[in-house]
Amino acid sequence: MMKKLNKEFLNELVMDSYNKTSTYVRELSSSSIKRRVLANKFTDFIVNIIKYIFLIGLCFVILYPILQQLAIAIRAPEDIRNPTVLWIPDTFSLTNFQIAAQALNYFDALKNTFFLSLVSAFLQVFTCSMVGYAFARTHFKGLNILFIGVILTVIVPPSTISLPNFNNLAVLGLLDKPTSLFLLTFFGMGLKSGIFIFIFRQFFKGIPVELEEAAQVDGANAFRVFYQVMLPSARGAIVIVALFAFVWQWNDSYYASLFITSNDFPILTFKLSSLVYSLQSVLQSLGIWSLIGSDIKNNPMFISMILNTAAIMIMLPLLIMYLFVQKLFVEGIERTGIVG
Amino acid sequence: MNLLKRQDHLELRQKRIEKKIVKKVALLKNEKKTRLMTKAQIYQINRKIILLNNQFKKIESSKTQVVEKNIFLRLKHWFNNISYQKQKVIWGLIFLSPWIIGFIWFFAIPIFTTFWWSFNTVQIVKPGVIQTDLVYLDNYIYAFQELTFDNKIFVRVLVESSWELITNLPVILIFSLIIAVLLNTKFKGNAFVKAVFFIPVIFNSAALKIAMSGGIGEQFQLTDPNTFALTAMFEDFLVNLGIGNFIISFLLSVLDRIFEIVRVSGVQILIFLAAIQSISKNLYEAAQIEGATKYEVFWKVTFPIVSPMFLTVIVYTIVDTYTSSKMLDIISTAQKAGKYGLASAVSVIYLNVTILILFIIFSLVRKWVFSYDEKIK
Repeated sequence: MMKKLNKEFLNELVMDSYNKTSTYVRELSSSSIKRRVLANKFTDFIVNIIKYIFLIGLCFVILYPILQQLAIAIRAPEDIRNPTVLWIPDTFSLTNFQIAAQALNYFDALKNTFFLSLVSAFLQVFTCSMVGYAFARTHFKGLNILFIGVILTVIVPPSTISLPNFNNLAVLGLLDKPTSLFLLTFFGMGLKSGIFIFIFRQFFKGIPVELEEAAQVDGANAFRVFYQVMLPSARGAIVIVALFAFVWQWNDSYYASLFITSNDFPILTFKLSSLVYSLQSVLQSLGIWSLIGSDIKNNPMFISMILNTAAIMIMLPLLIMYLFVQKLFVEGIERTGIVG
Repeated sequence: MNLLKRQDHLELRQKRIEKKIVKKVALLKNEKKTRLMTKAQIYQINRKIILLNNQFKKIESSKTQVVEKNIFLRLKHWFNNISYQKQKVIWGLIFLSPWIIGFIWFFAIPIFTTFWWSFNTVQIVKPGVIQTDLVYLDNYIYAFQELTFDNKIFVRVLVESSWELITNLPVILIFSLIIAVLLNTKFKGNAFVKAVFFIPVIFNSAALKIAMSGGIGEQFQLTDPNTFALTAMFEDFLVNLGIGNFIISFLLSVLDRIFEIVRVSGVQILIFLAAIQSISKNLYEAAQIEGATKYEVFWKVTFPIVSPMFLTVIVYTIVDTYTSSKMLDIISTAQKAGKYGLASAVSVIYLNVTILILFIIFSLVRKWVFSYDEKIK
């Protein structure tokens, strides 16, 4: 037995182990590496192409109605019956814009809507941030029930509570003035305020408590903690909420039309919904009546063309502002990454 | 002596303690003078004297109670003396107060008024003056038995709008999640595609819908002949695969509505994008070091962190489908006809159905949502 542990036996053992490992070790030649890298690049390329096609297709789907509206708006009114005019108009004319601007009372309404949306957005940020902070940091027993209340304010369709609110505000004598909307917003019941409160709450829950406690140890009272510690950290949320509040208030045709219906304070969306009724007088005043004749009520294509133009004129300022603000929009969201 | 009040007892006790302290300090000082001690012993005695003097000062200071005459100063004094937890609760209530006022005044009272009106016939004499006659359940009976809208009975419209909501939800969720993940990667034209996808957020408005419905309107035809061909091919493919009938019809309906879904999911994409971008790079790096494939990275890292946003997106989608719901047409038609009692009854029914759906979805989704903070539950 001891004879086996001689040198030859040991050599054999070592040679066996060498042979075994050599079958498991792959030979890395440069050509096989190249093949694998190329295969990966190929699949990546195909995946990229599919991704591009998918995304560009969706972009087209989104942009198509807007481009179509623009094409309709640039046409001359005489071109409605012309079936060959699909995208590029036969006669390029701005009459449609003129008619729509007059019917919408454009510049006054634009100023008013801008003012309304701006103050509304500011009030939403102010109230919803405070309320969201309270929901995120307070711990007492009834808090979850109150939060269900917040969600309820979002779920309930506005038409359910619009009429009693109308009466409430009529009693106060605040109808037909934008103050009614500002009052609603200040008390946390503005347009889709519940969503903003929800967003702020989620944000504030993501900020570590230690930050606040450090500020309190340094002797700040609650308002100072909120104003100087929490708000700068929640910049992303403020940007999102402010932009959304502005855009939704601009586009909203339910709340605003309900509470502000006088001619002293025209707003764009209300004017749009009453466009059809005032179209006839507008055409007469512009002197184009003779062109269309007496069958305007039998000419729904013309009405739809004017409506399209009016819709574009409402969206155009928003689009221009969006182009400037867009970087802020996208970056505001990306910046939240640093906070989380 | 038994009729002494608590305050007097306290005072007596304090006096006794003070006397004891004074005696002890005098004793110790005496000892220092008379006996011979080592430095350590002197040090010990000095320490005791200092401690006793501190106790004395404490009692002295607690004797002087601040008696404020002004109510504000008294409130401030009381507030500074209660526990920290309670102070936080009170601050929270102060921050909440505008919302609570608004909730009661502009929400709770109108809801109860609407609920009350659903049991009445309501006539508006002039803005601010309402006349109601109690009719008990007549409005509800009318709604369920006789109300027709667009040649469909009420229950059918209700079921149709709820079904539309339920089937749209998962599709919109999955679709916006996929798009958000795609948009998060780096590729050329990233900024342009993001900008285009946020456009429906701005333009998806009721104003557009009013404009489109005012006339015939040359709007984008959702039933293009081309899409028919595509869906026919897809349908053949699925039938040949042998998948069941229900799934085929579901998938086809999704495909038909893909354009509408794209336009509706702007905000959801934004919310998911924000959530994905809040994930710190360390997690991804750790996963890569551990050798996770991209598939695993998505399901184990991205998906759990994005899942709290599911609730937000679900709530937002449900709310957003309101503006295009048929039930609102019923309500507004009833309101224009002057039948406010009926409109209130329909609103109450619709609200209950929606709350039921939301409750079911919440309780299903909440169980597997990951959150840093257990206190959400």
